[in-house]
Amino acid sequence: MFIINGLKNSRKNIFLCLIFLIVFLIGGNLTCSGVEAEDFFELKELDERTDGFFIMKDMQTSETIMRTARIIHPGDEYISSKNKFYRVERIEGDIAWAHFIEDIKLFEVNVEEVLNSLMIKGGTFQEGQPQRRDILLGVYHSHGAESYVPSDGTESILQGGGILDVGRAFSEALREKGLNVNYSPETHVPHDAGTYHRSRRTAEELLRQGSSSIFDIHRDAVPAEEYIGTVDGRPTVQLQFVVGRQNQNAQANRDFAESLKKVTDDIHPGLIKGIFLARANYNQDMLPLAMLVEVGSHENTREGAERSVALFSDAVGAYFLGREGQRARQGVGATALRSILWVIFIVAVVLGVYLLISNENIDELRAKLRHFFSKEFAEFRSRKRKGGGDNGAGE
Amino acid sequence: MNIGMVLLLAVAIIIYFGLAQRVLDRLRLSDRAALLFLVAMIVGGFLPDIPLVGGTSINLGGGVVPIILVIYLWSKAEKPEISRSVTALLITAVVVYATMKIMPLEPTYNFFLDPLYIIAIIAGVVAYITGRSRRGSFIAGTMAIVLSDIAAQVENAFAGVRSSVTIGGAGVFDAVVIAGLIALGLAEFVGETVERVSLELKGAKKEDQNNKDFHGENPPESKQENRPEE
Repeated sequence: MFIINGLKNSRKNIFLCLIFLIVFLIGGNLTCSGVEAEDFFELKELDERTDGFFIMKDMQTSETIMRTARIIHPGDEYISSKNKFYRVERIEGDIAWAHFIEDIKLFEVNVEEVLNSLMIKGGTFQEGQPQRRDILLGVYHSHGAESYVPSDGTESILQGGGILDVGRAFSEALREKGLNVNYSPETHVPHDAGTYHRSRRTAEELLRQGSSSIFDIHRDAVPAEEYIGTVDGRPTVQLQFVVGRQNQNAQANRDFAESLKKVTDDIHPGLIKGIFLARANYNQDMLPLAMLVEVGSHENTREGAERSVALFSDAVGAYFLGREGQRARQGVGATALRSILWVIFIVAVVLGVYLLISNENIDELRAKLRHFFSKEFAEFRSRKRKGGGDNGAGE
Repeated sequence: MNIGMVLLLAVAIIIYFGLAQRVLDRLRLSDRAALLFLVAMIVGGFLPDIPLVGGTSINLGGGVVPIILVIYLWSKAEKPEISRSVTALLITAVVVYATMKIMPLEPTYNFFLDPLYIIAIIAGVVAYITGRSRRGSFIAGTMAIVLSDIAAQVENAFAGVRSSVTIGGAGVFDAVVIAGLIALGLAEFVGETVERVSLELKGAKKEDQNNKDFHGENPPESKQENRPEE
């Protein structure tokens, strides 16, 4: 009965909500550049542009830097396979014009030392190496329905796409290196915008089990040739790292991506296509050593993707077991320390704005702060405190 | 992980917990009760999930404790507020579920924020508009995510897809808790701002009124302040 009463009483609220929803939909439709209205309201295949893809081009030379089915925004950044750093300045139709910033110098790796320390010859681990069970990695898929058209016959399988096989192959290859791996085959369907909040639970579970690093394995949705490179003289499906810029670990995540790319470049040059620094979170706020990896595109073969993750596991093994990898992780740690200052600064600014808005003058602000420190904490300090001030919501 | 990474996570977690405690404190809970619920969410997050039906399970910290908190808030609320918060919850759940369907799958498709935050903010905004109170916002924000999880499982069942969902599986870092806290935080922020602005306007109006009274145009007015609801 109270629901009905509530509905009667809140007709005005419902009206407000509908207005909000309409504004949200229209606003979203207008803001989501590059996506046609009919595509936006289509409730399927929203992760892939059927009308084409974005081409990132160098503003100075007009050369193509990369192509992707992901929507690119001004401010997005990209580190190419040659370690050239670009920032997107403007979008014109399907072209994202990017400004060349600088050549990134990744940390130096003594490849011989890495290979010797891991007993790898020619990128392949030898038998009989010691097991390193103290390092645990987590592998999962936020979009477990993704699949590869040439091998799986379709680009998405709700029960579990070909990407699960790629994840299993990656986990198995890592175990062969002596690393301990927890693999989750959870698909996180339905395939909608809630997948990342569902996969967040899987990521949390992997962390709870003690994972030092977590890998979210995906595939992209661009023409096959975009992800074909030459590795060790053979045509190979390439990988791309994606770093979410909207989290407090973003800089550390980026350092992790760069150092992992450097190790990969030294062991299997050409395997990593680049690093896309995108406007998102990707649950990378949960750990500095969290990585989203695109393994090829939906038009590449699943078998090719499986071979590529096996190659990539050589680099991951080197990163986590080798001395150079240890040095790289220390670099990520130093970046993390710098990030702490930013986190504290941002929180201070937000709190400052809130206090300025909610108080009439400095005296009121002082009084509130005095009340906060003298009374609110006093409850924890003294059990003797009683009375009306106990209720923190009374203001 | 080395010391830098550990400290970064520690600082982020301390700030998150600190804000969470302050936000929960605004639910007419005592400081100790707010802290107790927060600790229960944190500790419960590490305990094994409780299996329910059809591949659905629930986490103690991210699912059971927030639901207990919501029931506790309902038990303390007046009937009109309960009905209002239930209405807010239903509307918010529908909007959140529709948002998940309408919004693009890939985070990079989105307008300015990751879906994790957008959905939580939408839950918060709708919950505040419909709930019109801090408690109403928290209830609607939290439970809307729980309902959307159940709806996702129902959708999977209809599609013949076997999948497992753990409600609040990420414990205190789950969208269930984050949405509730953001909703409550928004209510607090908007509430304080509206209060501040309305008091300013009231003050200006009053001053104007006093000027008119001074010239003998109007009789005196009552001094009731316009304060937002809890």
